Order: sequence, then structure tokens, then C-alpha cells
Amino acid sequence: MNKTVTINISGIIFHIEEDAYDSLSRYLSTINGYFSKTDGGNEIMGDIEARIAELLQSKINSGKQVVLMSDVDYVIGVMGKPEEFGEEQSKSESNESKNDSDAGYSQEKIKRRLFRNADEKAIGGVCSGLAAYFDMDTVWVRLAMFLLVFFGGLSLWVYIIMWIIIPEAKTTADKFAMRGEAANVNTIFQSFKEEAADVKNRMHKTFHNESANAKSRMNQYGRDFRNANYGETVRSNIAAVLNGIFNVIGRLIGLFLIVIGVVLLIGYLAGVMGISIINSNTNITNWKSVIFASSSDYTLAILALIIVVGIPVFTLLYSGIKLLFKINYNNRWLNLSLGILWASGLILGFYVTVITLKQFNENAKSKEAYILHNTGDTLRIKINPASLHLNELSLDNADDIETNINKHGDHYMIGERNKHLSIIGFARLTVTESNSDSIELTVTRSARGVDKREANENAKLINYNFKQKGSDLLFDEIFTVLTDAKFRKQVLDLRLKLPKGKVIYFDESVKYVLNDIDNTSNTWEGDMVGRLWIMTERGLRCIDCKDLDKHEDEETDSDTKKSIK
Amino acid sequence: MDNSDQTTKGASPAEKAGAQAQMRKGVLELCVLSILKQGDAYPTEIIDTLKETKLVVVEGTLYPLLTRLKNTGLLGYRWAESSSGPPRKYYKLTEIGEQYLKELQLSWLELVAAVNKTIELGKTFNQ
Repeated sequence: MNKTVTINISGIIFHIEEDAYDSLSRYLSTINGYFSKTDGGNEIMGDIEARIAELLQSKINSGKQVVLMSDVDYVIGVMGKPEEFGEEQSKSESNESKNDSDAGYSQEKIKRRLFRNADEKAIGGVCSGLAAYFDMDTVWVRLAMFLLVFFGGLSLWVYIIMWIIIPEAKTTADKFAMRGEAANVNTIFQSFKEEAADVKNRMHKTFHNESANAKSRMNQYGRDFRNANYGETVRSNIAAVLNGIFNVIGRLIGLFLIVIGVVLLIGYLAGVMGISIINSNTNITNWKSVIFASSSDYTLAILALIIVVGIPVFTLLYSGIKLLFKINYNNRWLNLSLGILWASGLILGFYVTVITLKQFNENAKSKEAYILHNTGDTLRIKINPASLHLNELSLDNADDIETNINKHGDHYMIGERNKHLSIIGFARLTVTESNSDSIELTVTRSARGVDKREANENAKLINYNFKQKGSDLLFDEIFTVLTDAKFRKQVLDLRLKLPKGKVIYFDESVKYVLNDIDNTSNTWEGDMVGRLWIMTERGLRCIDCKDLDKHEDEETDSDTKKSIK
Repeated sequence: MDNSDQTTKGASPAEKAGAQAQMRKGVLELCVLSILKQGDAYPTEIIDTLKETKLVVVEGTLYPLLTRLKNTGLLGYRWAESSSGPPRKYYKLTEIGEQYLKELQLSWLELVAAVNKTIELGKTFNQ
């Protein structure tokens, strides 16, 4: 069962199937577009329609009452393609322009539109369609497409997008419009100009009309120039101007979107390639394996990233091409599935983030306290020379270590020892006043985990040692988390409590370990090393650096002095 | 390389078809006027005659031509009721048209003679 439409051609009623109707009306409007601006265009159309009515009538009898697609094809075959009209048309037009050259007939050209050329297709007819649009040889377009594949498969994506959104030239009218009138290769810019000029023209007209109208109405009716007619002209003119402006702006935006889209696409493809490079970079591989709870989480995260970033880029290109080439084509299925895909990418990303953050849900600390005896007059804080040093671990990025060491704060590194990954962090030592007379050292290991229990276990995995040798207190500079542990923001805090009046010396080697030590001169921890300090009520006071607490200038002086040393 | 050699040797089928179409179009005006000299006719009749002589391939070309001839005053028309279908537009030759046709026929005969002569001359020249 098919739906039919009732039409009236040249005074005769026909019942015509819907698809046949579409085809016929497209055909007629193409012809109409051709003749509408010529002298006697209506008459020609009338003659043609009469003939079409006659032809259709011959195809109908009492047994077959409906006009079918095949009948319309027959009519179009008999009447000829618009191209074949065109030659006659151009001949008559040249005659006309000879006869009355200053009458300014402008034949309405059929605007060239972008189609896929299915008649000369290699894959989807995109290249040959583009070639037709730009008046180029298909070979060059194909060659360009092929070469651009080597730029990260750029053209592959563009091709697929174009294949999806550019309609195929199916009807004669489409095929004609595909090769429609175009002045030169720069069709787009040409039509830019045309549209811009049109806008300018109308704008001029509008304002001209406005002032002229206003003047005449002022004269005729005094102040009454809110006449309906006047308003309508202005309104329709303004509408036309706005329409033209939107056309130009639309194309500009389209061009803009394409440029941005291509740039983003290049970035995106570079990013996708980057991920594969990252995957081969051990340092980052190590990080991903210590941060994500499982490797599948990492894969999901990457997948989510590709979808969430990729689809907007795709959409950008898609809309840009549509705007620039004025393609009126909406694939609801495509839009919907893109939207759903994007949303699921977003949800996936959210899910992975939540799962991963959950691993950092709870914090747990495990404390150990030691009382230190027989420390002599001056307690000397040093890094244990026998302890693990950074260079003993095979670290992936030596350059990064330098920068990490020079910074103060939470810096973690990943090293590999005995084929096991270990997370490395700096111990943090602070010195405060003790309530008692004894020297007390607290070692606090803390880490995060899904729950308290796991966090506690993670904290206990922190490997750290210190040693007392008489008046020397030897710390490890770094702590490690061994046995393929996960990174769960492990922290190692050392708190040394000194009774009032106790003198302490920080060796140069502990520079990176000192953290947040109250002192009377507010000296930065990095400058506290190599000096003697005494514990007071207000924190440590420097004994052998009177110069430091006076002026900042002198502080920097001592700095430079030190570096010269 | 072989292909390019071929194209230089002879006109492609498309080129031949194009030349023939151009020739047909050039004489179409003359033919239409000649048909109408025999008596009034509506487009379908004109087309049927032209189709017999294979002068018209597609009908679409005829309508702009008829309108142009009418607008230049060579043709006139009248409406006639049809027993089956829409009213028919019968074209007829005007006096100017008849005059014009005579001139056209004359120059056509001259042209045919000249062309034939050229072809004959060409033949003897080549032998």
C-alpha cells in the first residue's frame, strides 16, 4: 500500500504516488528555477506542464489510475534533463542580451551544491563530489585525500564525516546542482561576496527607502509615518538583510568551525597517538599501574577520554561542513547515537573517576614513638650515608628527580628495584618543643585506602628506618613502598621533640627532609642546615647565624656566600 | 599514454554527439517554422514530426524555442479545446514569420550548397 498525493497539472487532476510526486516536483522546480528569470518564463513553464500532463495522461487508463515513479521517469526521459534545456536556454539568453543588453536580465543560475557523486565513485563518491564542487580533477582530490592519510589519518576521519553528511546526488536535479553554475574555483568565496554584496544592497535600499518614505510621509501625513505599508516594506527588507547576514555569518561560522575542528582533530589524533606513546613510556606506565586499582580501570579511563573529547570534535567538523556547504541534511539516527555515545562516555569517565577516587577514601596513620638517650650536648641530625639513595634505584626519569628534589613538599617518584616498582617519597622532619625533659621521636606512617583497614595496611607497607649513634641521629632521606604497592598518598612524618635548651645541628644532607620547623628567625628550612640551633619557648633559635634574623638582604648575602662555598 | 594518443587521433563519442546536437539545434528553428508553414500545430504535433526526423532528442528544448519565436513576433498562437486533456495551444506562423522563414530557407539552401561544395572540394583535395 502506498500513499498518493492529488495534484493538478495544467488543469488536470492526477493521483500520484508520494515518491513519484517528490521526484516530479523537484524536476519542475529545477526547470522553473531555470526559466523563472527569462522573458516568458511562465509561458514556457505552462507549455512544459501542459505537455507533462499530456504525457502522464497517456500513461493512465481505467486499469491504472495512479501515476508511478516509472511514469515520472518516463516523462523526465522524454522531456529531457535540465542540462539539455540549458543549451537552448543559453542560446536564447545570448540572443536576448544582444537585443536588449541594458535590460539587465540575470538568468537565475542553479546554485552549485555539494553532493557525493555516486556515478564516479571509488569509495563513497566524496572525492569526485568535492572535485565537481571545486571544478577540479577528481584525481587531485583523491591524491590529496590519500596523502593526508599520512597525517595521522586526518583525511580518513574527514572522509567518513563527509560520507555521512553529504547527500548522494540521486536525481537529475541533484546531479545538475552538483555541477551547477559556478563562476570559478573559489565558489565559496564567490558566493560569500555575492551574499555580502546582496546584504549591502538591501541595507542600502532599506535605509534609502526608509528615509525616502519617511520624508514623503512627513510631507503628506505630517507625523504619521507609522503606516502599515511602510512598516511592511521596511520589515521585509530588514528580514531579507538579516537573512543575507545570517547566510554570510553562517558560512563564516562554518569555515571557522571547520578550522577549529581540523586543529582539534589534529590535536586529538596526536593525543590518541600520544596515549600509545605513553603506553610505551615506562614511567607513565608505572604511574598508571600504581594509581588505578586495576589495569581495566585505566583502559576504561582512556576509552572515556577518547569518546568524551572525540565526539565534540567530530560534531564540530560535522556542523562546520554543513554550514559552509549549506547542506540541509539531518540524520536523526546519527545525532541520537552520537549523543548517547557521548553521554555514555561521560558516565564511564565519571564512573572510573569515582572508583579511582574511592581508593583514596580513608586515611589511616600508624605511629611509633621512641625516646632517645645519651645524645650528648648537641644532637646532630644527618642522613644515614648507608641508607637507600635515589641513585641506587633505577629511576625512569633522572631529570625529573633533580627538579623534584629541588622542590619542597609532596613529591613522589617511582623507581624500580629488583623488578619491583616502588613508590618513593621524601620523609618530612619537623622539630618541636618537648613537654618533658626527654628527647622524643615519633614516626608516623600514613596512607589512604578504600576503607580504614586497607588504609592502615597501606600505611604499614611504608618502609623507613632511622638510627641513633651517640649524638648522631641518622635518618633515611626517603621512604619506599615496596612489593608493587599502589600509590595511596603515603606520607612519612618525623616529629622530633626537644626539651628547652637542647642544642641541635642540622647537617647539609637533611636539607630536603626538613619540613615546617618553627624558629624564631622565621628562616626557611633550606637555610637552617649547617647551623646550630637551640630550642626555646618560641621554637628553635639560631646560635651561630646572628646575621639571619636582622635583614633580608643579609639573608640573601649569606645565601650567595653559601653557594660560593 | 595510449589513451592520450587515441584522443588526438579522433573525436571522442561525446564530442561527436556534441557537434551533432549543435547542428540540430542550429536548424531547429528553421524546422519548426517549416512545420508550422504546413499549418497550425500544437507542440505535441510539432514534436512528433521532429521526432520522426530525429531532430529532437528531448522535448524540453522545444518549449523555450517556441516561446522565444513567439516573443520575437514570428509566431502567434490560439487556444483550442481538446477532447482529451487540457486545452491546446496551437501555434501558427505570422506574416513576419513567413517572411523570416523564406529568408531562412534561402540562407539554408545557400549554406547547404556551400557546405556540400566544401566537402567535395576537400575530397578531391585529399585524393
